[in-house]
Amino acid sequence: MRSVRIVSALLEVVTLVVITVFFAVVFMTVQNVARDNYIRAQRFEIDRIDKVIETLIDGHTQDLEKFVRVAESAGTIAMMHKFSDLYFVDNDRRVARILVKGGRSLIFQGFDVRASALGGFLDWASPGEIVRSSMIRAFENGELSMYLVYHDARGWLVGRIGLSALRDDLEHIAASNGSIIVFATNDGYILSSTLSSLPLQMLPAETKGVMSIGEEEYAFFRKNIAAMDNDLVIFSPMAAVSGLMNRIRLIAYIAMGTLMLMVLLKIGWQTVLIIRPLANFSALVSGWKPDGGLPPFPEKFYSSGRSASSITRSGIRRES
Amino acid sequence: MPVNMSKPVRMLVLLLALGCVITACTKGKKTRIAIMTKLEAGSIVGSSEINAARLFIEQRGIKNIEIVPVNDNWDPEQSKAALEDIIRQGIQVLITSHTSTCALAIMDRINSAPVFTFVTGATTDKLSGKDDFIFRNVLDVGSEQERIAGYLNALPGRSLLIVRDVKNIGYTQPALAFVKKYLKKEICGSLDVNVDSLDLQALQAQIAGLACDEAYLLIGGYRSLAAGAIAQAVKRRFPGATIVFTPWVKSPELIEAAGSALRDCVLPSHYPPREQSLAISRYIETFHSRFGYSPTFISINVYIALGILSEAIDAGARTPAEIKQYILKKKTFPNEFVDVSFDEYGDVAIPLYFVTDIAREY
Repeated sequence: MRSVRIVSALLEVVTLVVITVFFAVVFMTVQNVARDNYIRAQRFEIDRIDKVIETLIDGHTQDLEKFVRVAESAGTIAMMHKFSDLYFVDNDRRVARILVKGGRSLIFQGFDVRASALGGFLDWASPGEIVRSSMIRAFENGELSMYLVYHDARGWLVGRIGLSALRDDLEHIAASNGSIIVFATNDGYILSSTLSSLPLQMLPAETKGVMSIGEEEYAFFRKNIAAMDNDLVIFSPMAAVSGLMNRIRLIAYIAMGTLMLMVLLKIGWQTVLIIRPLANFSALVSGWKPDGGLPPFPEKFYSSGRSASSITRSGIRRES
Repeated sequence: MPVNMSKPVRMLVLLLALGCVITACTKGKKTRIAIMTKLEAGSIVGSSEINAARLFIEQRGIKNIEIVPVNDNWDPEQSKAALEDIIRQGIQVLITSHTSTCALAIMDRINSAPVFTFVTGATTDKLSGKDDFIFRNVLDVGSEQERIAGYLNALPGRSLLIVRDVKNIGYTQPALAFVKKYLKKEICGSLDVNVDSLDLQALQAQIAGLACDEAYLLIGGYRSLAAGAIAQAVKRRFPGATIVFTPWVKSPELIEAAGSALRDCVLPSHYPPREQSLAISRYIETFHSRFGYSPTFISINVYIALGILSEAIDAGARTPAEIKQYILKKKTFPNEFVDVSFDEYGDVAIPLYFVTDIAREY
């Protein structure tokens, strides 16, 4: 009977292990699918921002294209006030003439731009075409900016697009769902973030995944924005997904606990009501001998409160 | 075999065991050091300092110190709030990199708490000569300006133009007083500007009527773009002038904004020029390879401060009073960059270097 007990318990344990593994696999699959879907959802947000940026840059490019084709006048200059700064740089790479100047811009006529990032970028402009820079911190006032440059024989016409307003807009978008939107160079160096105290300077090498920022977990998705030749990253808090996963985990734990309790009860019930009486009966039967009559009847087979003699009197007679 | 011990011996063994347990517990506990700085995404100022601390911990294999970054944006009001937060967290050791104006805003609270504070960026003389919990590893404004005045005195020109920023008045006001005290040159003009609302055309108009041989731009707080642009404007008016900056605009932005005027500029520095110091060069290269960008020079001050604090903590100093006592007792702390010697008030006497080839620093 001992082997019956062991086999029965083993079967229950195996059942429990199989169910546990099944729960774990289901839980991990659900978690991964939920996480991947969440990360993928960020892609739509990035695409939307990409479109906004493209529209902004294209608008400025078209304005500059029109401006270089028509004769310059007070009227045409007035049309260019969308630019944060607009000025001519001569072939000595000094500011020759300022058409539009932003409020906190430090440029003045004769300002030498040679050592600035713009100074290096001017070399990339071919005569007769407008080129756009990637996002850089402007020497004019330290603002994150993009430059549109038109090159001709007299030098360069430089239009600066300050991106502070765009950053402010993105900050509102990000604040609505607790996300963080980050601009970075192609090699991952962070240029700007809607969370000014973001404790990161370099992005992880992966384009998507989950990482901890401070004490919170964020899903991130990174995309190159062609219009500015820089990367945009959205970090979205995993709290929503984590909440769901925690609920699923809790349900799984309760289910496992209930199952385990039921199995234990079942084993206990089997042992007390079936296996142990059977074992005792089996032991009793094995003591019988065909010519020896009934073996001594164990006390435990009597009902409580009734003696062996009363049972004898009531019908079971021992042969002497 | 049972060992019979007398009562005094048993007591001694018990005390020794207790001592071992207490020592083990204390050794395992990390000392939390807050670094209060400007933690702005995209700005290398604060991140350089936090990463300098991280580099220090990694390079030395430090296990008993925990770094707690705290953002004050180098704004006096935010410095006050950040300090209260630090005190609430029970942190007793602080390193700051902010400007003098911020340092003055939290000076009294630091001493009443107390929090042992290592100042690595504020030079104000209001912190000097005081027996308090504020130490620093940069020259105070008086010593700094005395050295700069000495350099200006040695320049060949007879007259000096001073352009002062009033935004960081906590530094520039005493600095102007000290430089005037030590200067043996005629001041041809002393102009005040606000770097947050700089009108360079107005400045150009103001200097148009002056005749000056040299210029001193009294601008700090890493307002390097403004300093560079002013240098250009001054250079246009006085093409032969040498322009001297303060040590507190040393950043790549200065090179960008100063353009060709940089050739005749001089930058005082707390460290020897990069090409003359293997330690500085190695630090910048190691930092760059570890974190992917070049650090600010002020981060070296944080690195050195952490080295001194780490030594004090290793020697068993934990509380502000113990750390203060340890540093005052040892006085001199040699390191790979520059030896730091403290006086009885926690102020330092260190050299000031004058870098003439600024572009090569980055």
